[in-house]
Amino acid sequence: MQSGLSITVAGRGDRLVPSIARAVGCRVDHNGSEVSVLLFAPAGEPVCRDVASNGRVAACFSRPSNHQTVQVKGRDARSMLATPQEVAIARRCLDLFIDDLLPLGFERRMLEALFWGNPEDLMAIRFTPDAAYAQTPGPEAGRVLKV
Amino acid sequence: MPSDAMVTLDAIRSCLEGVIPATVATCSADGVPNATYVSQMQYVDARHVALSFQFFSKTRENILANPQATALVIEPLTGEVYRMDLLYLRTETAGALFQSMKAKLAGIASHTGMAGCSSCSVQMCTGCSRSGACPGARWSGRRHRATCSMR
Repeated sequence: MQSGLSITVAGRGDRLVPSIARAVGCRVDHNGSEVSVLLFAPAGEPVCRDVASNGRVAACFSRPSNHQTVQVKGRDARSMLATPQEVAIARRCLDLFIDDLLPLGFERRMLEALFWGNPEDLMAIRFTPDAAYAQTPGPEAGRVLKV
Repeated sequence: MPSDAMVTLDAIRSCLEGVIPATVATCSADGVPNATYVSQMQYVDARHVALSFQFFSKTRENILANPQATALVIEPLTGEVYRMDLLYLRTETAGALFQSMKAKLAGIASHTGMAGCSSCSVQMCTGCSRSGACPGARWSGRRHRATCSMR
C-alpha cells in the first residue's frame, strides 16, 4: 500500500451521498493497525468533511501496470493535517507511482502536475482497517481478505 | 475557472475517452462507502453516461440499493479533474449501447485479461464540476491549455 499505487478514497454524507477524491500516498503503521491515506486539500475536502461526520471510509489501491487492486475500509476515520514525515512518504509514494506509469506512455511532468500539490495542503485520513477486499478485475473480485 | 464551477457533460466529454480510468464512489444502503476504478464510462447524451460491469461488482450492488454515485474523471490533455454527480436509472443487457460498450471492453480485456461486458448501467448526470483545486492547475497556471501530451 506504500509502494506507489493509484489511490482513491471515498466517504459518504448523512444522506448516503458518496464523496470521492484521489490520494497521493499512504502510510501504514508498523503493526498494520492504522492506515493514513494522504491527499491534497481542497480536492479532498468533501471526503474529509464526510469522514469528520461519520468516520466511514473506503480506500482503493491499484497498480496500473498490472491492475492488481485491493480495497480497505474503516469506520473510525478522522482527517488532519499531514505531518512532515507523511509529506516525505507521500512524495516517495508518488515517485514510485510515476515509475510504474512511465512505461505505459504517460509523461512525468503531466503526472507531477496531476498528483502533486502544495505540501502545506496535504491532509491525512487515518483509520483502523476493519475490512479488506480483492478488487483486481476478474472472478476473484470482491473476495474478502484477511485484515 | 473557480473551484467547483459547474460545467456541462458535453464540455468534459473528452474525459470519457478511456485514456485515464474514471473512479466511482457508491454507498450501500447501510452506509458503507465503496470506491472503484471503472473500465469504461461512456458518454450517452448531454445528460447521461453509462458504466460497464463484469463479474461481481459491489458498485452494481450498491447503486441498485442506493442510486447515488459520485465519479472523478480526468481530462487527458490538461489534467483537470472533474467530479460528476450521478443517479442510476437502469441496467441494459442488450441493444445498441450495450453492444457498443461490449465491443470496446473486449478490446480493453484483450490487453488486461478481463472478461467481457455482462451489463451496463445508464446514469443520469445531475452535475459536473471541477474537483477542488487541481494541483496541476496550480502547477501549470494554464488551465485551458494542453500542458502535456499522452499516447
